[in-house]
Formats: sequence, C-alpha cells, structure tokens
Amino acid sequence: MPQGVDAPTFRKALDELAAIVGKEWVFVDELPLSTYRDAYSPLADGELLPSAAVAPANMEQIQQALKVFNAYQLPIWTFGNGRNFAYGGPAPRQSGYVMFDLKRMNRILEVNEKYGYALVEPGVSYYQLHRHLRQIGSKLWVDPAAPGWGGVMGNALEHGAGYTPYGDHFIMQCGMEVVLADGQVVRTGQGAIEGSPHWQSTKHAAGPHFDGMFTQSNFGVVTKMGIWLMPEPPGYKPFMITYEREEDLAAIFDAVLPLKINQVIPNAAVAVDLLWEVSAKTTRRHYFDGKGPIPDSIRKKIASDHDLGMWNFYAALYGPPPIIENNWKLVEEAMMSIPGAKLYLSRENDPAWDYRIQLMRGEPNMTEFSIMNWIGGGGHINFSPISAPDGKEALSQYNLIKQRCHDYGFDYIGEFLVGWRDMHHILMIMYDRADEVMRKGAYDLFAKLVDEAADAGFGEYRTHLAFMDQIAKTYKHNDGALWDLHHRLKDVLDPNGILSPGKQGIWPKAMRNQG
Amino acid sequence: MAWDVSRRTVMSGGAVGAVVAGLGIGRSALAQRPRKIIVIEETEVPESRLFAQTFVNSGRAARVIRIDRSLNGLLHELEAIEGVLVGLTSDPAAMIAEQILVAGGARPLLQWTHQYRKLRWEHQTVGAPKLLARASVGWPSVLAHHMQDALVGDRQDAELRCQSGHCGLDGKSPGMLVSWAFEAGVQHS
Repeated sequence: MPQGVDAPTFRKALDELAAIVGKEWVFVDELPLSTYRDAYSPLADGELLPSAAVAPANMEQIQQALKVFNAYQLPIWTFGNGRNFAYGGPAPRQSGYVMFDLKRMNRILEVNEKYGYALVEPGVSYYQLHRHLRQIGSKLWVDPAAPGWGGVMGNALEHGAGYTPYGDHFIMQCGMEVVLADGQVVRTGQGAIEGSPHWQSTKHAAGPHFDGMFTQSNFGVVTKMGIWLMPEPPGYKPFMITYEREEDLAAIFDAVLPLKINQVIPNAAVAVDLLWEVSAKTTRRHYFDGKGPIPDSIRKKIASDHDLGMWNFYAALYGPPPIIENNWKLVEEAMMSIPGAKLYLSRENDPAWDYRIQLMRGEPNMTEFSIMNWIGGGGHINFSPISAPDGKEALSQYNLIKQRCHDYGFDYIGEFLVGWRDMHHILMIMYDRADEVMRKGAYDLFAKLVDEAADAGFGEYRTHLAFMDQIAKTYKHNDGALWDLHHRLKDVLDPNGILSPGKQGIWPKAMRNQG
Repeated sequence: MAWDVSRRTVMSGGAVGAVVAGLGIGRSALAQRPRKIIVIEETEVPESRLFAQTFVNSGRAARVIRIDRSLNGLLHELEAIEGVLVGLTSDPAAMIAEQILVAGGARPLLQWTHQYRKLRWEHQTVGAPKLLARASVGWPSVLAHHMQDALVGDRQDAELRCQSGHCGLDGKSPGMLVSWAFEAGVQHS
C-alpha cells in the first residue's frame, strides 16, 4: 500500500485509474507485479515492492492519470522499458509506489533518413528500432546499449552509453515532449514552434535548454524523444589490442586520448579487463573454486589460455576506406607502441569479440548477459565513477577500486569507456544472489567505494536505486547547492511530490527528511 | 471492483524468481494436459543439449528452439509463443526467458537450480533426489524425465536438495544452471 493511503482510498483510486486506462491495464496481483522487481538486487528479498501498476496507452491517458495521482497523492514510479538492470531494473525507489509503466507507448513515430534521426515513444527498444530500420530499408544505425533489449529513450534519459560514434546517448538526443505533474504538455527546443519540422534536427532554441532537466530526474514524464542515428558508413574497421600488464592501463589512455579528442577513433573505445572479457567464454569455477579474488597465477593462465591481455582494448574506425587506412596508421603507431601489445583484426570462435564487433556497428545483442555466468547466480551491481581519460588517473582509480574489491573478497571485473572528453569506469560487482553473505558483501563494498571515490574526486554518473541518496550527498560543493536547486525545482514543478520520489536522491518536501 | 483476480500482463522488467523459486507444480497447475511441450535448448551448454535430446527421444517435445550464445533468440522466439515451455539453461538465459514469458502473460510452473561446487552437482528440485544424486554427468537426462512426470502432476511435494558424487565439469558448461517451465498463451482466471 502506498505510504499514508488506506485500503479503501487506494481501491477508489485504482477504480478511477482503471476507468482511464482500462481495467486490464491496472495490475495488483503478485505475479504481474513481480515483473517490476529488480532481478539482481543487492538488497534483501522483499524490499522495493510496488503496490500496483498502471499502464497508459497515450499522452491523454497520462494526463488523466496524473490528475488521479495528484488527487490521492499517490507516489508513482515512471519507466519506459524497464531493463535498467545493474541499476535497479524497473523497481521503485521505495515499496508501495504505483508503477507508471509506459511500455505500451512503443511507437516509432518518425524515421528521417535525410537528417538521420528517429522520434520514439518510451517503450521502444533498441531491437525494435533496429528491426524497423532494416524493414524499411533504412541505412541508419541504432547505437544499442549492451544488452540490446533496453529502451532507446530510457537509456538516453539515464545517460547511458553505446559503442558506435553515437555512443553518448544523451548527446545524441534531440527534442522532447514532456508531461508535467500538473498535466501540462511541453515540447523542448524547436518543438515549441507550432508545425516546426526541425524539432529533431537542432537542439537549439530561444531561451534555456530544459532537456537535461528531465534526465535522471523526477520533474516530468517524457513521452516523446528524438534521437540522432548514424548513417551506415562506407567502411568499418574494428580491432582489438591486448596488453599484458595491469599497469599498461596508464599508457593505453595516454595513447588513446589524442586519438579520441581528434576524432581519429570516433567511437566509444573501451579497455576491458581480463575477467570481464573472458567471462563470455568460461566461468570462474573452471579455474578456481576457492573464496576470495582469483590469484595472479591463475589470472595469467586464463590470459594465456584465451589469448587475452590484462587489458583488452576495443575500438573501430569508420568512413571511406582511404580515410580509414590513413587513420589506422596513426592508431597503430600509437596503440602498438606499448610493449607486449598484440593486435587482432578478427578472432575465431570468440563470443566476446563477436558481440563487441556487433555493438560497434550498431547491432543489438544480448551476449553481455552471459558474463553473469562467471560467478553464477546472476547478481550484479555496477559502480560507475566518471573522470577524464587520463592514464595516471585511470590507473589510480583502478588500483583503488581493485584493492577494495579484493578487501571484500570480490574479483575486480571492469571496463573503462572513453567518450568525447570523459571516461566512464564500470565496475561490475558480481555475486550469487542466493548467497546472502556475498550479496551483503557486494552492498557494503559498493557503499564504501562511493565515499572513497568521492574523497578522491570521482563522482558516479549513474547508480542503483539503493545508493541514490548516498551518491547525491557526495555532490556537496557549497553545502550541496546543486541538490538544493533540484529540490527547489521539485517543489515548484511537482508540489504534491507524486513523480518518482527519491529518484537520484531528489525528494519532495514531505519526504525529504524522512531519514 | 475486486482487485484480487489474475490478469494478463504485457509488462515485464523484474524477476519473477521470488514468485516461482523453489516451487513445484500443483496437480492442477496446468490449465490442461500439456498440448505440446516446447523445449528451449541453449546450444552452447552441453547439459542443455542433453536435456532437450531426452525430451525429443521421449516423444514429448513438439518443438525444440535452439538458442545460440548471443541469446538473441530468446527475444525473437518467445515473444508470442503458446504452449508449455521447458528449458535447462544458464542462469542469464533463464532470467531473460522469465522476463519475456511473464511479460507475455505466461505462468511460471517451476524453477529449479543446479550448481556445480567442489566437484559435485548440487540440485535443488522438487522430487527425484535419489535419481539425480546417482546420475552424475547424466543428470540432465534424469531431470528431463522427472520434469515430464512433474508436468502431468505425478510428483512429490517437498522441495529437496541433493548432491551428486564426484564428477567433472564440461569445459563448455556454465556450472550454474536453472531448469524451468512456463505455460504460455493460456488465459487464467
């Protein structure tokens, strides 16, 4: 039951919601509600359970439903596709929320081949958009997250990343339609000009940019979003380079930074550690049955058995073949200058290579889930600090985090992804979700890392539900002025505090000091 | 309006594990005798192949859906499927199948786990502990027979754990597997 609402009142609200969306689109039973749990939660079973779910079909139903939520002051948790696993999936921030499930709104409203964009609703997945583009004979690519069942809109709103040159999804977003808590519909950018055909072509308009305000937030319900799509290039050259030593990480990023900043390597290049890379093809139990992190001697055997390095660098070149070949000379000279580097332009029978190559050319796949076999039991939570792509900084961050993983008995399993000027470090803390001690250890390790990373100047770009408040508190410049601003906006835009309370540590006034 | 009736859902996004974990199937669990059994084979996993082959050999499998290691087939094949679906798959494949099937309104019938630890397989099932414990590397075949019985209601009630004798682990096996069954395409009341 939602907090502060009694059963008769809740039933009455559900009746009104059923009258809006149809009885078959209001859910209260255990089985359908179980689909809104976090499959990999680091929390104990029974936490973060919704009270009901409501699935509107269009913007008008959203507007009407918001009136009911406001009238009864029901907290709702809005999502589009619900595949945000490792960060909480579709689960609500607190038990008792009503899930506001927008998956029925899954229309691809426009594909513009000339200007290279699509306009989509919240429920459109990467697979769906990819299939649609192929069906209509489009030469545009999607840039899927890994795995590809995620939502095009949801991933961009969560600041997610992919692996083609269009890998920073929020940068590639252009134009939104948002329903505010009071039901008012706002279009951003050129969408605010009646009949403008340029809504998805330019981000710019007179006045402030508001699009970012509706990402990782709870200020409105985004119902349409434009996304730029990359035209299929005339040439594509993917490659992998393996590096023998952990400390090579610094040299890798010192070499890659100028290549990235000058767009010689245009895509989201990634340095993948040994265990992440090998976990698509084997499991820990094949090498080590003991507790704690895998010993170095066994790591070396794994690397040797699978022709891998301690770091495995993936990137690709795109464009007309003569340009690719010219740029390749620069890449080869820089990246192969590190002693022990080995270049691969193809690999036989290697699922990790296969799925990376697919991702870098915009083909959605689900292979990355198979790395969860490494431990077995599927639990994982991603710790994602962000920084500049500097070699020394990357190595220092790696050493800090790896040591903490080992202190808590976990393997370091991670990757570093380089964007336009940024570096995303993704640590995947894997655990058997049936092993309570391991699950608790993963939670404690994560909590420790948040504070230690913040002390070292690293903030997270995205996080699991369970750590949103803790991470919000690490952004403490000028007595937390940034979150004060979020809260001031929240109070004005959503005075009843119904929209996703607590999302990213942004709470409505009535819930702000609940402890 | 009563809000306690089952409804078909078209949504997904989280684990149904808490609903089905460790549960066997009741004598009236299937809406009717299995019209057809569709077996999901994760082709890269040797135990999954043996499990599927046993269903085929017994004549109970109307169809085998083979999933390669991209796992993409789970999304393409399971979206609008009807019948009783069974599988012995890796844990990630089981999770994806669960998400897709429950999203399509399928009802979970059973979910058992099989984990290789310290040179033995540990099985958490409903029924058949002795058979599974004795089976060693042939356990997926025993499991397939046991599941066939369970699906028509001939099974024991208690949730059981058992352990095999010492045996090896195939280099292609993930070592942590889930056996599962869903009934899809049936309206429940």
